[in-house]
Amino acid sequence: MNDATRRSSTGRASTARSFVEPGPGQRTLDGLPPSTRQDIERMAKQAGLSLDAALMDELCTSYPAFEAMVRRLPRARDRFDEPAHHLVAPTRVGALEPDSGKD
Amino acid sequence: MSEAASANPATQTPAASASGFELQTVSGLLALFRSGAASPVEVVRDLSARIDTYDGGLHCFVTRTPEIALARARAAEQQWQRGEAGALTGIPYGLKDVICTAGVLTTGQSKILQHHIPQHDSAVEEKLKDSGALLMGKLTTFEFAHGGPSWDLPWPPAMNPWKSGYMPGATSSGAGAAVAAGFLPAAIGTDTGGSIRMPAAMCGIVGVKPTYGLVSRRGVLPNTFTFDACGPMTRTVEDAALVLGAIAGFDDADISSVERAPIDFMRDLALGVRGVRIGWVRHWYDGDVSCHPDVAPAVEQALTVLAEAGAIIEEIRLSDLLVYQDCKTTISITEMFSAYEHEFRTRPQDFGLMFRNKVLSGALIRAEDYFQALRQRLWLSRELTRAFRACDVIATAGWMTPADPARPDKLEKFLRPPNITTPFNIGGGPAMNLPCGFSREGLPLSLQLAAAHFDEPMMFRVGHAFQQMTDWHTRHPSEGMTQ
Repeated sequence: MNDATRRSSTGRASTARSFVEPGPGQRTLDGLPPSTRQDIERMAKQAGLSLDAALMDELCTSYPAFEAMVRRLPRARDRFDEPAHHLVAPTRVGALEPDSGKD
Repeated sequence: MSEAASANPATQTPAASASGFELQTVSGLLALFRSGAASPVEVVRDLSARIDTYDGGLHCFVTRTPEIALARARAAEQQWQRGEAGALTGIPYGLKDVICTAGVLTTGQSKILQHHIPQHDSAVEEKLKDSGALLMGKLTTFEFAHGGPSWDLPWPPAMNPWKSGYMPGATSSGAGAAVAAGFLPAAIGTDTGGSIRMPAAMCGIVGVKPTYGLVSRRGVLPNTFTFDACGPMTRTVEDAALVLGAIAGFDDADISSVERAPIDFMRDLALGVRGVRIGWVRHWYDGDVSCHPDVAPAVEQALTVLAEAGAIIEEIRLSDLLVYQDCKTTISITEMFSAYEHEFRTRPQDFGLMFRNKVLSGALIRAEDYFQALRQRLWLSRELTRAFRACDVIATAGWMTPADPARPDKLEKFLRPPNITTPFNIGGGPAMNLPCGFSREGLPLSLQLAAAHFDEPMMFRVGHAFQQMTDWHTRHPSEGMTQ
């Protein structure tokens, strides 16, 4: 932990105790060129989507914002860094009926 | 009191036709039932008349269930007379329309499920029914609790009772508006990135996202399996604790449900805040990004109130909101596409434009990207865990702005500025918004409190103490209540 001195929009300086650990490296995919329309159409086809021209236009308009988001995720992690996932005891898995939770 | 908080005449206006039970709290109604001064049947009739009068302009309900409410109210009346009342016997409530109810239309506010009548109750509805509460109807949301507001769905979006032409926030929007408007003393919403807390902030009420796994998600139409949580929306913190007590509990049929000893959420309400350590995250709303000019003074004033009552306030710094948001949204759009993949492949045109634009891209997220987001989530969760070792509660703004004006002609950006509520979905612990003032336009402002996993009693303790020392939660809307 370290102290970070900074200034708010009201101009007041503040010293806040920081809980931000040095990150897992700053390596990201930010440097990749944005996907082209042809790239997006190919990815949609590979994903099994069958979109008419209007819907494909929508996807080509919206996808770049999400692509930029995904590419900002840090990548330089230690190989032992675990994902957040649920460890479920086998008894719990067995307790779930095939249709439980369905409406 | 800040200038914005004190100078607003609209907040001094009495609520529209405030003559019956419409402004009673859950705890207030229970006291009336206990003493015999009121009956559940007359409360249902009174609130139904108010909904008849005002919901035409507010659009809080997708489906109303007055017959169910009245039948349960008659049974509740007898239970009170026999001394057999449960935790919420006779209390009217509504459910966000992603929460399944057997035999009652549950649409997800989507054309995809426009005529969908579930065969089974959700776990939350089962628990509320068992507690003696009265279902008044199903409440407006954004399509599958994501991506609005939309004007191309079969139902219009809810509107804000505080000001005509303003939105009530997303996505438990009908729930927030209905509680603020005096239609219901309590409602149940769902929160994946802030969907309980944002409308609570916009509507000047209390909204609680409980610890993930505390309330069963069985029978709730999925948004994001990793983050979805059901929680109460009420006018007071005490009411939120009461309602959460009725809906919490282990459910073997929900894989995320956590088996542990029941928590008494009312346990610490009266303890006050002397000695409580509050970590204040200011840079999320005042510094790194610009919030509405009335937000920072209102939050600072709220913390001053808590400090004067003996809380120990320390400013702290966590990762930037965008870091949390990138992680959350990558996970969310991938899981949402997965949940609605069949419909995206077979009838994508039947989703609303906003939902389509925000979720269809989930089809193109690679497995390794999703996995990196899950690894990032654990990293960020550890940051919050470290902070909660040093602080009993984290406090920050409930939202960056007051309510937004409705703009049916404007397509919302695909990715909005980061939500100040999302970090606590990443962490999984409890978080709550409660009113802390008004903007100069007369719109509610909100304080957000969060605590460590399963430490809802500490969060409620601080929130209740704040409400004992302030009166923001006793103000009621008038200007947006048009017939």
